Amino acid sequence: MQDIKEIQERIYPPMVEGEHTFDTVTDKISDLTLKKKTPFHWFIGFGIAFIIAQILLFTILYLVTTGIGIWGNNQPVGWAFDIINFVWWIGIGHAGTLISAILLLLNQKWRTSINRFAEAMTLFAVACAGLFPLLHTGRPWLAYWLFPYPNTMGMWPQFRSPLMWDVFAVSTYATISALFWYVGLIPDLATLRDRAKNKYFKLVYGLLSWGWRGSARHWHRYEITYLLLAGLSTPLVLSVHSIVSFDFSVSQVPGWHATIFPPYFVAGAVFAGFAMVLILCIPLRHVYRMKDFITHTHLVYMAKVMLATGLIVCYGYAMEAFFAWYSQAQYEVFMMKNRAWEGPYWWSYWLLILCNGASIQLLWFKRFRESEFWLFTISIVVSIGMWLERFVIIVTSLHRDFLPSSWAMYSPTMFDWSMFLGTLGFFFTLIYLFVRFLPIISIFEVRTLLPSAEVEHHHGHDGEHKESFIEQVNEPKGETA
Amino acid sequence: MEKQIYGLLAEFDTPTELVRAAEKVRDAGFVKTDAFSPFPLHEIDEALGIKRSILPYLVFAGGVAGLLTGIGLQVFTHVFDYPIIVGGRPHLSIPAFVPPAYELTILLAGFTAVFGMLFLNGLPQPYHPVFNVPRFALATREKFFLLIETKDPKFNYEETRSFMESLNPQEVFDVEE
Amino acid sequence: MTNLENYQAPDEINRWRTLALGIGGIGLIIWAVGCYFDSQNALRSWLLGFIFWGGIGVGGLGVLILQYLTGGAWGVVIRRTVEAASRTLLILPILFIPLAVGVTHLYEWTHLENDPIIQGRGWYLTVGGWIARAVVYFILWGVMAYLLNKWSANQDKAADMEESAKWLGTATAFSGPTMVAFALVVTFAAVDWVMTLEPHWFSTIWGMLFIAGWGLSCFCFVVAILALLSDKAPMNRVLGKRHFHDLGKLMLALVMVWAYFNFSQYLIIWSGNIPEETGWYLTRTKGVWGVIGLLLILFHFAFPFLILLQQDFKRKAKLLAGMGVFILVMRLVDMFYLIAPSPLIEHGGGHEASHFSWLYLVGPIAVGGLWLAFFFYQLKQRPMVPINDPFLENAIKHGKGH
Repeated sequence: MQDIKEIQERIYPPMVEGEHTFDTVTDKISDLTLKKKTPFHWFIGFGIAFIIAQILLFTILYLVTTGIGIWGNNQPVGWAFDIINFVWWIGIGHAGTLISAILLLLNQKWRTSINRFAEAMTLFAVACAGLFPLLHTGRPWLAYWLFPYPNTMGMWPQFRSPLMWDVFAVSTYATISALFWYVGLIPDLATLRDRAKNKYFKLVYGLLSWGWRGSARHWHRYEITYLLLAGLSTPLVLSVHSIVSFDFSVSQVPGWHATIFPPYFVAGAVFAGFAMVLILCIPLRHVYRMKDFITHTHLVYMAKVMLATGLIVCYGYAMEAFFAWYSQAQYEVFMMKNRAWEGPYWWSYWLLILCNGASIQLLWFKRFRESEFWLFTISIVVSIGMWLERFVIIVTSLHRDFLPSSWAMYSPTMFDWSMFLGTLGFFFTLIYLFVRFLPIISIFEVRTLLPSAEVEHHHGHDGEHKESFIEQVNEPKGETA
Repeated sequence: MEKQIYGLLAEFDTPTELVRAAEKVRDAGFVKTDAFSPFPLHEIDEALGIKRSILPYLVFAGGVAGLLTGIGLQVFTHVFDYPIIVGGRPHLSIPAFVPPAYELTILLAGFTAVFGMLFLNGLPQPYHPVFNVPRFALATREKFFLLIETKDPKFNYEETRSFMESLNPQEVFDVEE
Repeated sequence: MTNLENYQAPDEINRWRTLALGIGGIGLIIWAVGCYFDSQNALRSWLLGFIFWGGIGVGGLGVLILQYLTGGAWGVVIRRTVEAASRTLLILPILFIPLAVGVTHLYEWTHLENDPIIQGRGWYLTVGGWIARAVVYFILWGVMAYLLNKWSANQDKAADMEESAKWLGTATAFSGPTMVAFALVVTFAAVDWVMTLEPHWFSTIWGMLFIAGWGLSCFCFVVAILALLSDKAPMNRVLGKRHFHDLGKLMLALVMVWAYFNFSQYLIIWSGNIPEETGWYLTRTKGVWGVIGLLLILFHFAFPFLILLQQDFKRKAKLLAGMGVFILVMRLVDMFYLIAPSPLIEHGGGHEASHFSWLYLVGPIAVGGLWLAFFFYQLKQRPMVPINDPFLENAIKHGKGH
């Protein structure tokens, strides 16, 4: 029996390393927020992120007072950096939901120590994403016009438009993700409340935890809610990026109008999201000494998911190219040629293939999958690649539209760049605050991973369980074969 | 003035001990009971006789309400209140109405799940007598507790206390109101 | 180590095999007669049967690869059944012969030598290219199925757990890259065999529709077979409620994925409304075809979705198997909906609108009888569970849990 266990652990290593008990798990994670002095590097990192976030603030200020003419958008490239960045950010958010919801439904234990900050990443990424379409409206203070309410103009939003679907999808996504995250936090906030020494911290965590006391009846409903939310979030996350892909695909623009867009966008989103999770958790596990909980195995699994979703994305590229040829439709054929070698943006297509297609092939090999350096590097390359993918789809499809007289080139302005950079600063500012004030790993869920969390069976039952199945079958009792 | 007792609280070290004790408490006929643990324990539901929550049905109803709201809203606005042809699509553009209706389904179902859970759990509830036991702070860290309330028809301070002590807890506490 | 005899499928399987063979034989004769009178509809009905039943076999190979990649108890308990399904790929080339022989009666493009689009596709869409690719698909599928089946059989012969784990590792390592090849082969096969029925039409999601659809067929089929065997030795000692619950969840997920892919395709084509694509749906949303489309939404999606949402339903093997058979019937209707409305070829080029023919029932019955007979024969060849698998015992315990 012992060697079976050994073989099993070799194939599926345990998800918590080191000798841990309920109290050491609790203390180790909650001390980060409660006990430890805020480390110096936190101030440095937070400071840099915060300064970069100010660039966003200034850009928005200038944008709102001047108008979106400060961006490089033109005719025919009416959608450019704003939509590229919107799709990029919202895609990054999707890995958080995937980790917390889909992996929960699939009963994958490795989600447990990464779901908390992956979900936080989701929220912050969605916050960054939301800024772009909001500001692209030009008058963000009238954004409430997008919601259906009886108004003095006597008009309604246009529900036949995919942009309206976006409003519903993204706001639902932000709301449900926030609820999911908060529900997951409640028991840990109670832990912080009970362990906080500082009076004010105790009060704030006490208010936020809503009087959670770990009652069995509460846990019962809590678990049902958590599973239901996971069951709702899974189709939600698919629908959100599908709807983002409808922004393009329900139009007639060659390069946008493709039926594969919904699943291919979803896969791309998860791909980019896992890259971002890896970018965040590789330094995090070192800096905060969380290697017992975010183990090597976690990184390898994430690398595998990244490889799988990346391959689906590559499948999408292959299908686009194949069907452009197969269709023999003149606009489709032209689009593909223009994208890949005849057009002025050919380099972006090949750079994209290099980043998203070629780089991930390294992940087939154990050597790269198990090296943190390579994982981190590949994740950054993939993040760039997924940004380029949206650039290729949006800019190269638009700059050569049906009417050759309106063909034009696109180039971003300084403010396009400062806005994008600024959201990066904003994102990392929020990440730093989260790391400082909330438990970065779900404490109560890690407790359930420990062997001591198993309830031993009754002695009466024990006999049955110990008898090996193999032996039972080999001595059939009254078999009717 | 004499202290009002809310119930008796027993502390245990392991989940197995808690579940065994809860089973004995159930078999002894106590009904006003509760258990506290730092993480969810599936076995305790059966041990305490907790019935399956009605929450999934509420959430389903919430989802249906969202779906009907979504369909109703779009049909009302685009077919009855302000019919206008946009992009060559008919007034009743069923395929285009699917995404918003779908999102509203999920939104309302999600709201029902979270707020339904909080409502059924009676949360937020910042004060509860069990918090008066100082050791209870460990219920969110590593200890397991079992409670029998004085409201229980079988409750008798002396007998219940000695019964709880027979369950091999670390300690038995009086919970003050 | 252990006595393999105790894990053989019950002898009843042999009866089912004979029955299936009988039905298949009778179907084949009726089909041959029908072929004499109406070769075009007869060939299409053969194609329908081939795509439907062959799809279960291809889906079996896909699920076999998938379960090696994901792990999990459900994969261990269904492995031998999907292996048997994947081995039916061996007779797929034989079932393909009528299609290869009758290709000019089946596909309009074989008569469109002067059409610029068909010309633009060059050798790719010629009879030679089409048959050559089919041979390549069969070889690739065959190699994948052969190797995975061989390594799994090696597990049974393994001297100890260590060796068995080694073969499991080999199969898992092989499954990663193989999944990529598998997806591509399915995509191109689906384009060749079904999409080209409408020579000009195209849709980039087509391959995914078939990957998910055939996966769903396979799960439904496996659930039905396992439920039949669940109260007989040896599976009565293996299967538990929770296994069916897990399989039911996967069925639910794939029903949703099927609806998602189809809705995406429909919404995008409906919204774009461009002549290259819309014609395909125009035929399929009018008259009787429109009614069938509606039935698909209701009974291939809405009804199974609402039923499978219920936890208790998924835990009852027989009920779940009933739903599996129901979905399989709808899968057949779905394939029919893809194939039958395509315009018929008139002699000497040109085409006319399609119509119903009683022959559409005969093809699936004939192919189905033969396929099932071969499947049951294969199922009897090996123990019903991978007895030496290091995860078998855990998988069985998992099934008995809550």
